[in-house]
Amino acid sequence: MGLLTNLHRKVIVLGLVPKFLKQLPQVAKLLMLISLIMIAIIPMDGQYRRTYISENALMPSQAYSYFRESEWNIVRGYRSQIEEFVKNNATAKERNLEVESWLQDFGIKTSIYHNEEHQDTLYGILHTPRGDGTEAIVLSIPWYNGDDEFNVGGAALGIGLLRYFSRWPVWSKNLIIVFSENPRDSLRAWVEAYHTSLDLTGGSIEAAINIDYASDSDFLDYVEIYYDGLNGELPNLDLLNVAIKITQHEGMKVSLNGQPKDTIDDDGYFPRLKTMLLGIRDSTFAGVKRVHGNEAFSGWRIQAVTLKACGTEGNIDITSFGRVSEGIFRAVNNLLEKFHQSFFFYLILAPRNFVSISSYLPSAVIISVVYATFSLDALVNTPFGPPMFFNKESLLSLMILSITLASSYFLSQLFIYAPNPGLLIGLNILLTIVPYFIRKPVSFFKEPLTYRIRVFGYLYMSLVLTSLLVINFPLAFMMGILSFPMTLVQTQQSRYIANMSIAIKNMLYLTLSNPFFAILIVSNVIDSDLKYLDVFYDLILAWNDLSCWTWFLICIGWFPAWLLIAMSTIKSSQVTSVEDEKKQQ
Amino acid sequence: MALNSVTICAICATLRLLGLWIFPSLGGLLDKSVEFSTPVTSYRSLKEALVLGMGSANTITFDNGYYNGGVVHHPPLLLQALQGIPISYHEYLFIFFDCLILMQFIKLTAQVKRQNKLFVNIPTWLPALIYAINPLSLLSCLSKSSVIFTNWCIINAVVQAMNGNIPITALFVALSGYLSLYPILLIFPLVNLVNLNSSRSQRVNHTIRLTLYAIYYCVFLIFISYKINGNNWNFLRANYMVFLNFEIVTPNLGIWWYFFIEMFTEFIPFFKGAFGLFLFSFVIPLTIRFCGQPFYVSIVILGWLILTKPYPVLGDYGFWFSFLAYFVPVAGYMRYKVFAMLLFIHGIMLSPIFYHLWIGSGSGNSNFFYAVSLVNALAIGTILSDLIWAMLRHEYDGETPNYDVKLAQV
Repeated sequence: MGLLTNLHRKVIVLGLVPKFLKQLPQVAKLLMLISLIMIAIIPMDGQYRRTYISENALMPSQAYSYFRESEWNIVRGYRSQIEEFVKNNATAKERNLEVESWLQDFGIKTSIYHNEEHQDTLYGILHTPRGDGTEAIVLSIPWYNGDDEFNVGGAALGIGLLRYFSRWPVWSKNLIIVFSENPRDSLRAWVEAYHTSLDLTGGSIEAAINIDYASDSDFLDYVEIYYDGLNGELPNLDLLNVAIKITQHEGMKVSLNGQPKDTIDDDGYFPRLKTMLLGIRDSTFAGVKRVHGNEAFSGWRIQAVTLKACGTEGNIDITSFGRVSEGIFRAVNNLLEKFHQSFFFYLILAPRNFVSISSYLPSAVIISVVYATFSLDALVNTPFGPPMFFNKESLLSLMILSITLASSYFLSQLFIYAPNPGLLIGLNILLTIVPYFIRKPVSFFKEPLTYRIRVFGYLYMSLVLTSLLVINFPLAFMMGILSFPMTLVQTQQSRYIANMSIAIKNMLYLTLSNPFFAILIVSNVIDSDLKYLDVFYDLILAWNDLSCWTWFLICIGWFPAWLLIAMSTIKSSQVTSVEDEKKQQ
Repeated sequence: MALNSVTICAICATLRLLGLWIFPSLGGLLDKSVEFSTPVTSYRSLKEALVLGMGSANTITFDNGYYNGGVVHHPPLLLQALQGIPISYHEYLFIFFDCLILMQFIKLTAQVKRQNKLFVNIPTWLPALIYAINPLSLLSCLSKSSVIFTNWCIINAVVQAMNGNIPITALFVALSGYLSLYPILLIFPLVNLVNLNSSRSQRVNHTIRLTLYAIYYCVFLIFISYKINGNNWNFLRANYMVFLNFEIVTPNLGIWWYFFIEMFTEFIPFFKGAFGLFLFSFVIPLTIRFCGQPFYVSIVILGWLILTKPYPVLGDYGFWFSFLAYFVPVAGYMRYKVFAMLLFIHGIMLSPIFYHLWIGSGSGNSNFFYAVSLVNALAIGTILSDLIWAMLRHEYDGETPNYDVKLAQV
């Protein structure tokens, strides 16, 4: 204790605490910088780790795969039949009935899930000869893939695979094959129905492999693997590792997060950084951007990945692609209890490199601390003397916060029923410029109140980021960075009324940190699919089709904080401050 | 702005009725949440107990197996009292009890203002209003958690002790102990509270009377329960040993449950002893040290019980936070108000999230949720130590607070 007491006394004697409190905004900016640096050093050598299989039972690529030439003919046969569907313009119903009869030929129990809104889904279950049938692995094949191409190769391969699996006695988990119309809402509707209303089921689904082979060619070039789920969920890293390891073992190149082929082999700091940032982007906009199929399984404790065959030229044939699925099925089949616990939060830097949550979480925590620090700054560094937290202004700001929250919630609901992005942007432009055009001080906004509103605005932002950290790190990180300009906003006091540059700066910062502007700009810059106002429609669709929360997080998490900060920039009526009192005396 | 008891009751009832009518499914949702319900306090288990025992003619038949099934954890008298009220009216019963608690808060405030000039500046309606609009007590009422009956007994006991009404104090302390065991420990500070303004000779007399009355009522309640329960003692185990032995191992906001998981089987007897002693060990020392501030120490001990008891719910916290309003006159001494508040807000925000990660999405584990339990405990612990510091400073400075003197905490 002696040492601590000495230290405490030193701190008091030197007056470090008041000095520190004066510098809070600088401290917060420094913290922000530190947080960004912490993310930026992750791809450096020594900061990341090589991936490994943590569950020993999985043993990927340990068994010889037999899905080879003789099966190729069968796949070709199915494919030529499926090509007939396209030629004859077969309806979804005809397609499903025909495929159902093929599946029944080799002893699969099938059923069609009827859904008026999200189209019918055909699924079949191969009940395991061994095991108790309480667990299942899913092979899902959307008829049309995320790019709206007919998944001809995938469908043929899926049926061929299941036919091949059905002759094998090794399965200890039920195998389920699913043909949904698209990888989006109809697959999601099926997954939901599987867990709630379907009669024919095969136990809890441990893993799902989504196959996307939208060409009629026998050959492919490389494989893209998609893994990010909705609402920040990720499949267990073991499954992703197994998929990557088996794919590479079969001689194919793996591209993650949609990287083009020529950059797959790049190694070094910047390629790794790029992969990581692309991963953060994809995870932030999961469900909003193009959906590949694995997203549909989120939320039911199902580990899902999508394997997409890319290119029609190349020296890899379709059975190799089938052997990847076979290998993954064999590996997951070995799984005894469940996937290992500690592998649910990670960032991927390269197919064989990752960082776990402990490396990147601190930087997101620091971002949350940045907002808390600004909140403290607005509480402590006011011209109105020592802070009293529990007073009338706090109560008023708390009430304003509640009203803001309620109206943001109302706005988010309203927008779902009547999506009108133009109006939304217009409203926000109005909200941004209103503080600039209010020339006369508003009598309601006393100066101490504007400071207290900022306290609550930043505090709310910090709380939202903290709660979001462990659920959806990429979104929390994005929100934290994009809304940073709002911390630079200065409270406009009536004494600086002549100072127009502050008002203009405030307007600029508010524009940059407005959730809707920020999302609009970011989506247009980083994602070529989301053009102009598309992102707003897609956010709503993601909620309606896939129950993805991103829209609500933006509306209820970010928007109220921004509104409060915008409110605090309104010209306030003057109250005598401590300094003024001193001068008068 | 003066609010009388009718206005506050109206505010309280309106808020709760609005919650009930606008969000009819909220109560059931809260009843399933781990923050507002535990097996010993939740409405689900209460309803189950009522339905399970319901024989012909809508009366509970307490046959021999009733308490042996490990389902019923509510004392016989409470079930006996509730059986007459149709289940559809239970919501209104809980709202009614919340209003009763409010009235007692108003009475208590008026009483402390009369007795001690320190409290003169507290508005009479403040603690009651805090109770009425506090989201924790509001949601707890909607979840129909049976802590509300215990809380009602506790506040009645405190009010009656303030009045110096010994038999009624003893009755309510015994009742609160009868309902959920640990509040019986409040008898120690309440003895001091009863004796506050009495002479030396009266003190011994009062103490003995209060103790004897409390013992008498406890024995009486237990005996009646024994008779109701068909001359069977097995209700004691179902009602009280469940606390002492932590028999239902289930996650909750408290700090006990984590130590009773299968991994630590070997040490469970040790943990039982350690946690039980920990809970008890601070009660008497605190009472003795702060015998001059019996009202404050009652509040501190109530908080201590909430912090250390095996099955706490947010309803307990909401009740206790209203008592903190009485510390407003010495709030200047408290140094971590904002810190403790932020800690608590973060704790209750994160606990459903981490519970979801563990039980719902499966990407977290029990450590996540227990970490949040510890954050909550830290918040309550910070508040408690701050309150004790404020009491010490108040004692040191005498009647009038003197915020200018800075003393080092050693």
